[in-house]
Amino acid sequence: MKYPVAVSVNGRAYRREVEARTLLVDFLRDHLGLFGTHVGCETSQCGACLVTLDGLTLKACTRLAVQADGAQVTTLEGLLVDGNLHPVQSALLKECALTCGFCASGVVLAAKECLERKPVAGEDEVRRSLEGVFCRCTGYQPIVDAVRSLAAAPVRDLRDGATAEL
Amino acid sequence: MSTNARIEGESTGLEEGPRLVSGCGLFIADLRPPEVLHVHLVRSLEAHARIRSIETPAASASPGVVGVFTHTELAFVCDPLEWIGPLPPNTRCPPRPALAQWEARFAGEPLAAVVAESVAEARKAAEGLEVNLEPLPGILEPESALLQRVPCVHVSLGGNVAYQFVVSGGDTEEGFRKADRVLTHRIARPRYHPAPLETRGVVARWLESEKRLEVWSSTESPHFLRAQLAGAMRLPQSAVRVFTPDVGGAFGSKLGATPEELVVCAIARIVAPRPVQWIETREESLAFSTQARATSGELKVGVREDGRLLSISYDGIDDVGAYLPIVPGHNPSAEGTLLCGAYQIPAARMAVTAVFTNNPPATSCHGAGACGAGYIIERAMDLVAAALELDCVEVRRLNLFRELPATTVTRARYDSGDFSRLVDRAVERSQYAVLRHETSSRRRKGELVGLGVALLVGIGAQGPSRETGGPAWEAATVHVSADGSAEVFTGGLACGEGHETVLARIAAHALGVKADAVRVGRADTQTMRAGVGSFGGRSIATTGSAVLGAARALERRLRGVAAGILCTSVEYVDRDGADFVSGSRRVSYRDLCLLAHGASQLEPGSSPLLEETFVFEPQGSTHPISIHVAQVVIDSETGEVSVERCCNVRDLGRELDPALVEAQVRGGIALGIELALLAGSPRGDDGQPLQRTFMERPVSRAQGVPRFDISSLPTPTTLNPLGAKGLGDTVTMAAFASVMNAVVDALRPLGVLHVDPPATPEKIWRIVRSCRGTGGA
Repeated sequence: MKYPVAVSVNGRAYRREVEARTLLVDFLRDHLGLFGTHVGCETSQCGACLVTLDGLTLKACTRLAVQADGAQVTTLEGLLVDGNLHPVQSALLKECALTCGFCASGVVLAAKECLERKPVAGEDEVRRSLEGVFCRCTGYQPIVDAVRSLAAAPVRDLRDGATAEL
Repeated sequence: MSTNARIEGESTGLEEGPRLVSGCGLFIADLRPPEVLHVHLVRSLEAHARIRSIETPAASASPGVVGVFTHTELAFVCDPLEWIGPLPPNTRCPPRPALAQWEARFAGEPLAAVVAESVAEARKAAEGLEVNLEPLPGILEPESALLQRVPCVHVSLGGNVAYQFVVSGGDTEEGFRKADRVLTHRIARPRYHPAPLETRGVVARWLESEKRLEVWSSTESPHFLRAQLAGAMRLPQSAVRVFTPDVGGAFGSKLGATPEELVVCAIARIVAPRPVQWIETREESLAFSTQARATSGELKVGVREDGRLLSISYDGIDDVGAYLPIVPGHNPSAEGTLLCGAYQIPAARMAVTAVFTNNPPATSCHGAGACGAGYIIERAMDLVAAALELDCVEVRRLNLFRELPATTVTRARYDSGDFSRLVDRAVERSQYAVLRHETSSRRRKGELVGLGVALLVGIGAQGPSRETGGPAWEAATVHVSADGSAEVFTGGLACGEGHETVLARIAAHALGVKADAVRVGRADTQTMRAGVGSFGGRSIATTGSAVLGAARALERRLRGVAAGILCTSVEYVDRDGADFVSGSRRVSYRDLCLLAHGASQLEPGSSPLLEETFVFEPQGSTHPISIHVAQVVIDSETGEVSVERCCNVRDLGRELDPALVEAQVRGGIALGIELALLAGSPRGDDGQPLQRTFMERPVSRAQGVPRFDISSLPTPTTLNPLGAKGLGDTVTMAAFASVMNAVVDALRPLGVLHVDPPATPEKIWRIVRSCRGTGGA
């Protein structure tokens, strides 16, 4: 038995038929070919499958594809604007905050969400917001520094990467 | 040997960074060749069992299933994996079947493979497989492997010893006799899985018309894998091509060849032309794949009353699991040479017996064997300090090699560095005296606070090959096209360390062009025909030196061509930026490359192919050094250890890109803390893994680690033209050992002299409770 799913991912509309058990993360990867969202643990620990669903940042292994019917989804690939990196991505690169890059989907989206919720987050708050993502390469400090470097830049709207009044 | 100019530059971040940070990396699970079939492996649920039968009809009839394979079917197309080339001395490596034939030797050994149109269908079908196992008594504790009349993990070997080595120098027994005190302690480290965020995976395709096998694998050693797979698949190596996509971390767990890779290749040959893919689940990764060895043994230290060590010995047993992992650079005795660490000790002896058990196969993860010895000597230093009531830094200072180069009594040669300066810097930067004072005053208030120090000497790039037992060299080819664009190919490529960036910069520097004119080719055994791999701390030191050699040779050739064009001799050709000049005459780099491709017409005998290959063979092993100071506090109610401060000073030789090095150093410290406090791979009494997901396997998280104070005092090594010693896992092990020392220091007021890692809350809580209980507190 297959179910229709109509979903907007990174601004593009998709219609697919999926099995009821298909997870959102598998839907993105296997049905839409968006491989920027990774599978790291299968048990909702590592955060490599973070996406934004109707404005909420969540682990795509905790949602069924059918639950995303009618939703707006943003994945790591969707953060590029006209081929330019999102400020969070640029900041992470500048701080050498990723090396193997497998955790990028989790780290970038968790960092972005942290900044959107609390634009001037302190060290502890940033670390707390990264609690749900694993990075095995960098010891987290460069990630924290990257987020905090953006927190220091006050007039930047991180939702779309454009400069705006806060 | 030194380069003419600086290669170090302003860090421009990772070359591969934009690709990875925007989700455009290509990892093994992202490969989707058309018509691909998926493999699900059915594994043994018993640690040791006779395989009575595997009934496949029900599974074969399941929807979407293309085939179900056991040893019988695969035996038509492949043999077991066997060690190709000379085995290290006193080592036994039984063949490792793709799928177990008569006997399952560890819980998790693959028994059957279900191949289906989708992963879900393969998994579903596997439920219908009837596996009939007869449990057999097994060896789960390495100590019992050596007893009389115990089961043999491999009956054909007639015993359970995998290998033995003894590394010794000086007369240890005499040292113990002369010593004022002889301290002994049993110390142990558990097996664990390093848990890179990306699990393993492989894709294979058989091209029948060409009789060729194409393999994509998330491996650290593509050429080694090719050799092993070709051997087992009864193919010439020239018929096997291995590609490595982006690798999401490895830490030693993706070295060598494994049965899963062989299963996928064998099935690909059977189901050709359809390609076949297997992606390891997290459970398979944590519970069943190659782990780090467990080790335990008796440490003995002979010391004078003034704190000078006279003799040290370690007699240990390592648990390699059910099969000796088939990995390049297998050289466990290298560990023994480092038993003296940074210290001038007149006599030392390390004897290790490695045994087969019914646990998953285990090898060196986090450090090419150096980790064990470094931890042992640094625990020994603290045991001495405690026994003599000396400060742990003072004991270390007393015994340090005053000057390098020096050779330890176990024949490790340290070519460069300054131990005293590193200790001074660490003491100064960590404000060690202040921390000591603070620790005492907090202790008086009843807090369990500890301070730990570890001075680790590791192995970066091993060499030379004739001494290391395995290949220590690396090869690189640099090719320049007619338009001036350059490509670098090497056998040792990145597993997430930023090699593309640094290797491109090395080549660009030697060629005299900008780094963005150089691309680093993906690891592919067809474009780079020979290579060794990316593991230990060898990549920049050895692979980088090979790239430098090839690029320099090519630059010399370009100069020769330029001399012809400029009507001068080669010694009068200079570079101005990328251009070649002689007096007022000039030819641009681009024009030169174009002309050089027609050079055969310009100059008789010259080749139009602008390409040079260089093999770098290190003449000795490099020894990166790291000193780490850690402060911990223990919650006596819960047993939880928190790391409050970390200060690290390193000498990794020349650092070509300090920002990338720092990223790895910080990552290494976080892993070291994890090894000390969290990581172990416990198994039940029946050999069943107790950690199958990240819910049971704790890892370092953002809130679990403090900010790290890191700094560098580099002294270039003379063992390679780049002066790089490599990173390896020296920093990880320094952090690990210092945190363990700090935990013991925190518990010393309770009379504790040693705690084996990991210092989990439960373990520490029990220790605190039993000490306070018996102490009447």
